[in-house]
Amino acid sequence: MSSIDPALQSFVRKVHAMMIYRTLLKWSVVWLMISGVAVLATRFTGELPTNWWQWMLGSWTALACIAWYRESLRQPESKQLRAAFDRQNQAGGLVMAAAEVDTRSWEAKAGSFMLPSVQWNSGRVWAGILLATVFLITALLVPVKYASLFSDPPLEISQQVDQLHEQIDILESEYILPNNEAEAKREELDRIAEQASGFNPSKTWEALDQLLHTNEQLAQEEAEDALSKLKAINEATLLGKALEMLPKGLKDQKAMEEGLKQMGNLMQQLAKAGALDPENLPPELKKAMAEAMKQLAKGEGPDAQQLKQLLEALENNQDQLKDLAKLLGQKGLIPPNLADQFKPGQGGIDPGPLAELLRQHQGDFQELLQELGGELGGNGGINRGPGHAPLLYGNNSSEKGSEFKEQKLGLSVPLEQAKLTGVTITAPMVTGGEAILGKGALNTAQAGGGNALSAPMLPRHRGAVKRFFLRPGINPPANKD
Amino acid sequence: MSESSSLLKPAELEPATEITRRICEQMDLCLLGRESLHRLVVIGLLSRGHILLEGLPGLGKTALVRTIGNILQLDFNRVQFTPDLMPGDVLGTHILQQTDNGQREMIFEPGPVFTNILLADEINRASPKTQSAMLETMQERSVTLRGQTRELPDPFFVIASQNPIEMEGTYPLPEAQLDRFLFRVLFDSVDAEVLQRIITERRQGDLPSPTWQASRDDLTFLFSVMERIFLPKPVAGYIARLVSATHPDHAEASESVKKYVQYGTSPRAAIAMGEAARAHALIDGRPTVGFEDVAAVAKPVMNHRLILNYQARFDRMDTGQVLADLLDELDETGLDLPADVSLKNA
Repeated sequence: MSSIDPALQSFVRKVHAMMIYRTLLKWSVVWLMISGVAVLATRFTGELPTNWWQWMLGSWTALACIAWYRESLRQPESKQLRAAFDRQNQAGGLVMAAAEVDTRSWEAKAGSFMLPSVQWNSGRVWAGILLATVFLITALLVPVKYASLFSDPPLEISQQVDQLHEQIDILESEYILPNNEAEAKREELDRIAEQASGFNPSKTWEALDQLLHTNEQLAQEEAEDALSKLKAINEATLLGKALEMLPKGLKDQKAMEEGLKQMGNLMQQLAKAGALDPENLPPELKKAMAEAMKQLAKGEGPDAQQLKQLLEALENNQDQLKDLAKLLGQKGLIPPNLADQFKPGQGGIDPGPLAELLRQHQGDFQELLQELGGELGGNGGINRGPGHAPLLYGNNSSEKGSEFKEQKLGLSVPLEQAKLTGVTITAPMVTGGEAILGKGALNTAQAGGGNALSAPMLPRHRGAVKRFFLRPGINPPANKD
Repeated sequence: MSESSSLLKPAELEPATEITRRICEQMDLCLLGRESLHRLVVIGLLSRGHILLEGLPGLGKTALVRTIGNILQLDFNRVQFTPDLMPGDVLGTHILQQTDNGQREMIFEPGPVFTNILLADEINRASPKTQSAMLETMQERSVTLRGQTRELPDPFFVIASQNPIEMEGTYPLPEAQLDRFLFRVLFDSVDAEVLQRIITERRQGDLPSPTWQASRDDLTFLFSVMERIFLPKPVAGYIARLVSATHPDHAEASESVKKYVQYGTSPRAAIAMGEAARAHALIDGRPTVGFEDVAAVAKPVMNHRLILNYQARFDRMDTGQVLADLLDELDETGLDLPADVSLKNA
């Protein structure tokens, strides 16, 4: 064995160790940066695991193993390292030759070989490690509240969400929205609230607006439906009250029969439209209404007690519809003008005069209803009634004795008296002051300067002309001297 | 392990090194201020290579050749190359002569090339025809005339001098002939101090006689030691990579090679470099060739073999600068360490 070999082997190990160290440090910079980003991402999205340092230690150990393996694969050939050792020791090829021939006779003469140092200019890498370490430590220590500010700035929508939740509850409790759809809407609302982000507030606001719009649409449809029912109930109530107040002597008369028939029809329509909700009525009213409905269906009028109970049931339903509208209006689900239409009419028609009218008409009940029209609603709203008023053109002014005022026009020059002064291929050139345009209003007017608006100056214009030319600053006053 | 493959023992190498040291010493004694040039000439002789000296007239080229002839006690001839010099004037010619028996025969009259050291003075003044007549003598060390080949004396060296080709009345040497020179050595002016010594110590330009002369046996011994100087494989590999890297399309070519070189050096350059590096190691007293030996001879071996392109002329680049860049950039060991990692002596 050559005496060179131990030193050479040390040199080989030194170079290999340096290459592993260099690669590991370089990779550590990237590893620290990635770890910092991972820590930040974890802290932003959730909790940092308690054994995070074990993860980091494990990953760094794996990194070191990979670096060692990679550099082992890339290790220079031994002859190259031997050549480098030879060069650094200025051995003049002796170390290289030792791999091929016996050089022992020269090794003693050459003396001991120095182990070259392997130097790495690692300043930039250490600077990178320092920066990456600071970054990692910052990522570990930064307060989470600031972190969350960066990651997801809050969007305050709790008030809107509560309001929408309340609306959905109302819609569900009033059977406007089925249970499953209400639940779906709640889930969607919760999802919107969860995903609300200050980075993209418009998305959240749009989603909330959409939800609000669908709620309002449902409520409005329901309110409009309720309004039409309310009107029908009002009609029936009014009619019932009128029937109740009719004089007893008229009960067998035709008007009474007609009234009952109409009321029966109305009640049928209400029942069919679902306006009469017997579910919320007390049992006795419910029973009375059922009896009254049966009798009305047969065309028989209810007795006074039944009529009274029926009216009570109708008023009860009226109140329910009004309460519903009031509730929807309070929660902003229907527009105020629609809610106002449910309010009790001010100065509604007193059923007493109505009954009197009915009695007077003696059975022309349909005509009575048409005349009373929308006032039967009694809801106090402003409307134009069931139809527009007919356009009547009466009392036309008479043309008798009226005539156009006669006006005498000026005479024109007859053609035969006209004098040919010349023929031109274009419009004749008018010379100023010489051409007389004609008679009539322009009789004395003279053409000049091509101005079509030339007007004759009359004596009454004298004052105005004088004032024009005496305007201060335009023309100095004429020298009186 | 046979003797040829075994490393020289110190006792075997030291006499040879002593002889080369003495030769160099005598040359330094005779010619002032040319120490490094003398070593290159000795390396050329030990490598059995021919040397091209390039420089202006009056710098001592002829004196150098005369001195080396004197020291080595070798025959020496000088031929002044001129435009009308014919090949026969150098190689020799056949002359019709009457023999003793009264018959007439073409008798070969050897030319000045039949010597040990031929000084081809101002070789680039001769026509290409005459220049080309030297090709066989330089490569084969023989002369073929009228179908008959005659061996030249052993050893045979051509030491040619040429004026810079920018001078008027010169013919540039063809590449084939340039390639046959081991070295092209640039003959620079000496500094003022040396000139002062020349003026005071060399009256009339007379050269002093050498105080020691080598014998032919010494020369033969040197050649035999040269054969046993060991060239390690990594060094041979470096020479091969260096020569390959002079080609612009090679992967390891330096930027200046890629930019300025039209044709790289030939395999003959690699052979010449190996031999010259061996001789350098011998002079340095080492039995093995190291990277420093290659670096010492790389420039004179390759500077006349590189052919630069027109871009080099525009940028005033010469082969010396291109080779310097290449030697700087190419790692001798092929270790290919990263740029930020370096090896330092402890």
